[in-house]
Amino acid sequence: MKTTNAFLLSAALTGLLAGTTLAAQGMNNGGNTKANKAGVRLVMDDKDKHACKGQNSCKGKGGCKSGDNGCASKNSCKGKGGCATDGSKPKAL
Amino acid sequence: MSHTAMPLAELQRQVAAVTMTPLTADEGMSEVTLDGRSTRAIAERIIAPNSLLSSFERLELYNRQYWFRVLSALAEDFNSLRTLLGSRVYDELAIAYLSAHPNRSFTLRNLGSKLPEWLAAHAEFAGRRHTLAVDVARIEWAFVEAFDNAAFKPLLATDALRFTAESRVKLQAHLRLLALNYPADSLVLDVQHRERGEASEGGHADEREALPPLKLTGLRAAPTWLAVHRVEYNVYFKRITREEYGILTSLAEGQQLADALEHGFKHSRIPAAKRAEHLRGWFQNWSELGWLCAAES
Repeated sequence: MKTTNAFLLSAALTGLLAGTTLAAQGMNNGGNTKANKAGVRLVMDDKDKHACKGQNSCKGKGGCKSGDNGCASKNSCKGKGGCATDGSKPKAL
Repeated sequence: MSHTAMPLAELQRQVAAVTMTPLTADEGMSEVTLDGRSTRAIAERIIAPNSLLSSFERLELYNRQYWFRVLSALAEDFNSLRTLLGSRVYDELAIAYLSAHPNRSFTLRNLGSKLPEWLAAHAEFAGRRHTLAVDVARIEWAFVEAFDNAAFKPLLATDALRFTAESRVKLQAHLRLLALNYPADSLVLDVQHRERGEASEGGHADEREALPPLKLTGLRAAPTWLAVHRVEYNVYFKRITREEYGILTSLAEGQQLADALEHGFKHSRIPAAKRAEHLRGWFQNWSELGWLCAAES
């Protein structure tokens, strides 16, 4: 470590400790404070009416906490096919 | 139709070659595949005609479905790019991109993964808006990644207490850091707000509807650093400074904490006396947002 960095390093570690402490407190009070510091939230349109068109039914809309941790790292129908809503099956070749 | 048995893998290759061949201008199946083979000959070899449709027409259904679906999925992910360029140019771009990078994944989520890189090398589509278009494409792909990338367990206070100059951290998996030539995040947000307004008035526009290029007013090139990330299942844009970008990207590359700080302030205009104050705030903010994770996690 370079000695010129000691003061900066101390500041960074002070901030790191403060942030992790605040994050722990935020988890206990619902996390609203965290969202306030996150920047500008993107609100996506409600496009999943056409959920069978290669789209992603819960993308960016929040409210994804249900089931298997909702949408995090998952993609509910995009590209998986099996989207016939009328129960029909494709004709055999 | 030949009755010679064809290995399944070969059958799949032939069907893929035809279905991934771009449609004609009137949305029909081309007479030749991208590598010059006759689609009619392939169809007649692998699909029997029925009382209503020829072999060519039956395979054409799959060819059309493939393109309608991938174009629709891509347009959803790159809606602002389409708005910026207008539907005519965007459609040409999308077909060229998908011809160069056909779907190779089980999920259409990955369809646009190479679009920013591909677009950067293909200035012919966006003309004077090329640099801006690449920025927009990078933001829109970052959104896809921020939306559904994994979430690592963030650092805890007990981890922070053990940190030294030699410590390394891993960045949160859904955090995407972008160095842009334009404040293109403003454009993406404007497009979103405009479309939400239109949607509330009269429903969603069809993505196949003709759309003129966006009129740009007041958007000037300016170096912009942006973090795209997820909090509580929502995606956020957060402007960051050049120094923050430098430190975070250095940490992402595996540099030790002290080295990352030094790299971040290289050529910085922030006065030396103010740097500690900035660092304290940045690290507090990053760790509160869960951007910093244990390197071994």
